[in-house]
Formats: sequence, structure tokens, C-alpha cells
Amino acid sequence: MTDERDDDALADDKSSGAYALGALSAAEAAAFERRLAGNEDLRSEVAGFTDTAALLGAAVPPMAPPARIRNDLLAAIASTPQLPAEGGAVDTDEPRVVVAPVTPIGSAAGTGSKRASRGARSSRPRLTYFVAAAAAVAAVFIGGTVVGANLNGGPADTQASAFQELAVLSTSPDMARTVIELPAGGTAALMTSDQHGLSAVVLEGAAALPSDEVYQAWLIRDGKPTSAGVVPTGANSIRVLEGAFHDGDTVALTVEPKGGSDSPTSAPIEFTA
Amino acid sequence: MLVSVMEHGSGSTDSGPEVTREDLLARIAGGDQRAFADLYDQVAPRIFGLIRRVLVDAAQSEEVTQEVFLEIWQTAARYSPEKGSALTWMLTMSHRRAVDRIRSSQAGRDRDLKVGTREWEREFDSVSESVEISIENERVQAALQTLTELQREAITLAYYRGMSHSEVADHLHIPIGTVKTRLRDGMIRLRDAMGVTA
Repeated sequence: MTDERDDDALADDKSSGAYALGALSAAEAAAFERRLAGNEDLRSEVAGFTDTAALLGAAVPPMAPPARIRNDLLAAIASTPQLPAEGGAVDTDEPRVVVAPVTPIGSAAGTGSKRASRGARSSRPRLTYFVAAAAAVAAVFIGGTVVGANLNGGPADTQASAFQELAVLSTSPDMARTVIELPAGGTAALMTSDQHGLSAVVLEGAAALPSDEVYQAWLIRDGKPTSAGVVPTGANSIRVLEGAFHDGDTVALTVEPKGGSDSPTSAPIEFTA
Repeated sequence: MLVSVMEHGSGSTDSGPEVTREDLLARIAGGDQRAFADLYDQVAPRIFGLIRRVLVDAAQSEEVTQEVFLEIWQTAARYSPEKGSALTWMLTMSHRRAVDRIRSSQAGRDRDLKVGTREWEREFDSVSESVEISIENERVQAALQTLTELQREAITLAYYRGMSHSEVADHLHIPIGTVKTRLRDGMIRLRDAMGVTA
């Protein structure tokens, strides 16, 4: 009953136009979809609106994307598993995570990625993700949000292990996520899993720091900060943190000179729920 | 355009535009990488064009375009013709991902708010290489003329600028209920004017 009241607050039958135009928030769209389930007239209206919206989309003048996108995609699909037809896989109640190479996939792609993706697929059949060793940029979909991001930085093999740790972390049943606003602009999300001792910081839309400064992450235990690594520069970036994370640890970011510091030299930005 | 050509396997099929996108999707669902390349060649400019229209930023548009094509590859088996044409399915996915990107990143906040109706209408005037597209454009253009100014404005902000209905309400200083109504009434007119049958 409470659900129905919430649904009414978030979406009503008049939301059909907004829904088909993509103008509802995720929560509103979910509420509207629950209404759709029991209402054939509404479903039919939405189907017509969806086709109509697609015509608006088709009316935009076409524009050829850069040629490398085609090459990158053809390289990427060679090692990307496909979902079966409706009914299998992806359970929406679980954190849905896809770690996908976006760009540049580049010439070194493939060495470790196929192995990793097969392993991942067989051990976690309900989740879809794959791991690309050489990708410097990842698209990470966490709980429905999408981030095109720089991952960790450093050589390809470091990135490959970061990808795998990120995949493990993101799919861990005990994964917890805390999002904070960065004072300079943008948000930072902390993902942690006590079970796996893993943690990662995800910057989304972070405002650029001066070119000689970086965000550095710290794991704070018993009031004592230990460096957990420098977050790669870029508006959207991901850093899998160094050091084993345990529940009760605090994680904080500081702004440090490029290359990082041995101990924090600016006010900590703490991840607190 | 929609001539059905059945063909399978990796033989020397000269897969030109006579192969429907629906056929290509079915082959992609079976893991056919060449069909994926063919589909890409057919629809990438439209998908990229739409995403770029919504996101404006080139780099982000390229990333989202790649995400869309990876999703097409991964979920081709879930497409069914009953849900609408393949192009509708792909454009809907493209728009959703572009909007997701706006809502989840600085892109939305940074997006140049001056990019609006005027420029969009100008682009409509400068159509276009492909016959099919220009036909659709005329259809859409004519259909848009059946809307009231207020309906057209709300639909444009929502669809082409990726605004949520509450953002449209803020932007136009009107209640959210009014936005909802305008969007729905506008979509009904557009649908009828374009002869869409659900």
C-alpha cells in the first residue's frame, strides 16, 4: 500500500509523455513502469510515444563518428560476451556492473582480457562484465549510472589487475557506496567491501584541479592516515585503493602536489554517509 | 528499404543496404561480428548525430556512442520486432544513454544552455544527404508545426536537451504538472501527425 502511495507521488498516468521523452528521473521511471505493468491502455500509449520519440531522434542530422570508434568497437566485441534472449541473466536487484573498455582499446588489447572475461563469466553467470587489460579508459555502470573514467593510471598490467579488483568489488554482496560532493565541484563515490578488503574511489564530473595538484586517497585507521594512492586526473576517474579496507576504516581525499605526499598536507575530505 | 534478405554465414555476401537492420540484429544475436560491422556502418551516423545533439560535447558523445554499440552487441538477442523497428530500439537506447550521461556527470551542468530551439531549427533547414532522412525530417518538421509553441518548447527541452521534467519546469518557471501535461498532449499531437500507430 505504501508502495502505491509512493508511486502516485512519483508518477501518474499523465507521466507517459515525459517517460517516453526520457524526462523522468530513475525513481520516477521505475514507478511509472510499475503502473505500466497493470495497464494495457497506458502501455499502448507509451509504445506509440516511444516510436514518436524515436522519429524525433531520427530527424537529427546524421554525423559520422571518428573512424577509430569503429575499430575500437570491432576489437572490443571480439571478447565481449552476449546476453541470452529475455529471461536469463541480469537480476536487477543485484548491483549491476559492467566494466567495458571504451577508448582507447588500442593495439595492445586482448592479451589478458579474454582470459579474464572467461573467468569472470564462468564464476559469475548472473552478472555481465568483462575485463579489458589494455584499456586506459573504462565505462563503469554502477547501479544504473554510467561513468566513462580513467582507471588507476600506470602500465597496462597494473590496470588489468585494477579492472579485476574493481569487478570483484563492484559485484561483492557487501559492497557499500558513499557519495560526497567535492568542494571544488563534482562528486566522489567511495565503494568498499570488507569481505574482499577492497575499496575504490570514483570521481564523477570532478572540477579540474590546478595542473600541479592531484587528489590523493587515504585510509585512516585509529586516526592514522596511510596513503591509498593518487587518483588519476580527469573529470571521471577511478582509483582502486591500496591497502586492505576493513569496516570501521575511514577514507578521505586530500588535494596534494602532483605525485602525492607521504602524509596529508591539506584538509581531508572525508567520506561520510 | 525494407526488402527482406535472408542470408547466413560468412560467405561472400555483399551485404548492402538491402539487408534490413532487423536481419542484422538477428545475426548479431548469434555472434556475427561482420553483421555488427554492417549495422554499425548503417546506423552509426544517426546514433552519433542524436547523441551529439543531446550531449553537445564531442568526447562524451563518442564514449556514449561506444557504450550504445556495446549494448547493442550484448543485448541483440533481446530485441524483438514486436517492440518496434530496430532503428526505434537503437535510437531509444541512444537517447536513454545520452540522458543518463547528462544526469550522472558534469556534462549536464556544463552543457551550454544557449544551445536551444533556434539553432536546432536552423539545422532542420539544412537537411541532408539521405533521402530517407529528409523524408523523415519533413514529416517531423510538419508534425512539429501542429504543436503549440509551448508544447514544442517543452518537448524540445526534454528530448533534444535531455532535461528532466522538473528541469523543464524550473527552466520555464511553470509547475511540473503543467510540464507533464504539455509533454503528453504534445506527444499525442506528434504521434497523430506522424501517423504512428502503436
